[in-house]
Amino acid sequence: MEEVPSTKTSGLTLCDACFAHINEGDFYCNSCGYPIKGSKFEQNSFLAKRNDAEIDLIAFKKKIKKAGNTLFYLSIFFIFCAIIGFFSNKDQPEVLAVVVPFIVLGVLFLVLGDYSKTKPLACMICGLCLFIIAQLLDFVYDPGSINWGSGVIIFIVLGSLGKGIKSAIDIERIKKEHNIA
Amino acid sequence: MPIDDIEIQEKKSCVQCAALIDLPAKFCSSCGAHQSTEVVTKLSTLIYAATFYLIDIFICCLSKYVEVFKTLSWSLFFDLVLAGTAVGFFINNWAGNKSVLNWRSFSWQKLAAYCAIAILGSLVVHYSVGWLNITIYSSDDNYYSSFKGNLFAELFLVFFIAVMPAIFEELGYRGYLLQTLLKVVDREQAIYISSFLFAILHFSFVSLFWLIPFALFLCYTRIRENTIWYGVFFHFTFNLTACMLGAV
Repeated sequence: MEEVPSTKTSGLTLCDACFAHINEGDFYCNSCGYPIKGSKFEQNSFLAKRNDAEIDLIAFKKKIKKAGNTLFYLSIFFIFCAIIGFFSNKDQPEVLAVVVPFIVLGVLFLVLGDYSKTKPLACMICGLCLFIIAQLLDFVYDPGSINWGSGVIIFIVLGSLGKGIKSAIDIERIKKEHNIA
Repeated sequence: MPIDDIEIQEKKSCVQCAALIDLPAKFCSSCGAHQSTEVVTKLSTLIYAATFYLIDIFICCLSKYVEVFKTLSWSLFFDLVLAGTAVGFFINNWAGNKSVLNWRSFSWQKLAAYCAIAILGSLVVHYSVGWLNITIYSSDDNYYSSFKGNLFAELFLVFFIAVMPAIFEELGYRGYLLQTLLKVVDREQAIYISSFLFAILHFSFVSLFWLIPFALFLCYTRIRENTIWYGVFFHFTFNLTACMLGAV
């Protein structure tokens, strides 16, 4: 094996890939698996794989952002439903019974959308379950509300949130596997 | 103890080449092998937990909204199915879940304190929900009205509202679900997810204002005490108080 010196900073030897501290005599970095004493080819292919993982991370983050935006769209949709519900029932005694659940849903999706920037997996799971239950209750109270149009929208929302959950798990896996901060 | 022995204890063997490596090392410094021993992927663990939750949603929906199933015998049947689901999923990963059934930190004072908090909480919830129901829905139906006219109404009320949910919801949500989520996400997220899922399963968006804090409290109790039993008694006392207030 060809010995290639790694980055040295004030007496400490640091890994060229993840900048973790390396013990003398180590063949591989114990934080990211970088072949410290490997050949130039081994080191370059390791760094190339790591770069690929970083590109994947960017793609997954985009999917999470899209799923987060879906939560915001749902929030806007339910607030809109509350406004319509209010104006079409404002003279009825059950106006609050119509409006309050929509407002609660709107606020919940807004909070989940905002919080999804820091804790994406938790928010996607909660958002998906909340959406499923909201649709189920909508179907129970008014079976006629489910038609082709709403079916397509439901399918898109479920797909987006499902992708968000998968991406959040993949991001965590890649970060762990490659020790990417 | 010799110094060498102490040094060996702080190291572990590589899963591939058996070389001694530092305990927190993610990769072997000799062969470069990844040291993760996780066999089950997070996604499949999540899908398994989702199956448990979807079964619960389906059964709760049937029992709550399908007119044919709104009888006492069907209620008993659905409660038994829910209990069986919770027990089944819990037992399926017995080795990972059984620790939450221990009650090593048992203390009468703590138990009494939890029950007192439950009674106070239930009183606050009973009156605030009553006010909200009258304000929003112009009616205040409570659990008791479902059993009114039955010979053993009080007995059924306590069984269906206090006993069964306290044991099997705790086993299912603070036992199985929380324990499973802890394998997938960090502790904070696991608590939030399981609390939120538990709260929305009650199919009442207006009641979320108390259901979410209630579920969060139960989750924190389960994590802090490392047992589900304080939660079971808390849940039982909370629901029993609600039953008694409803029956008055």
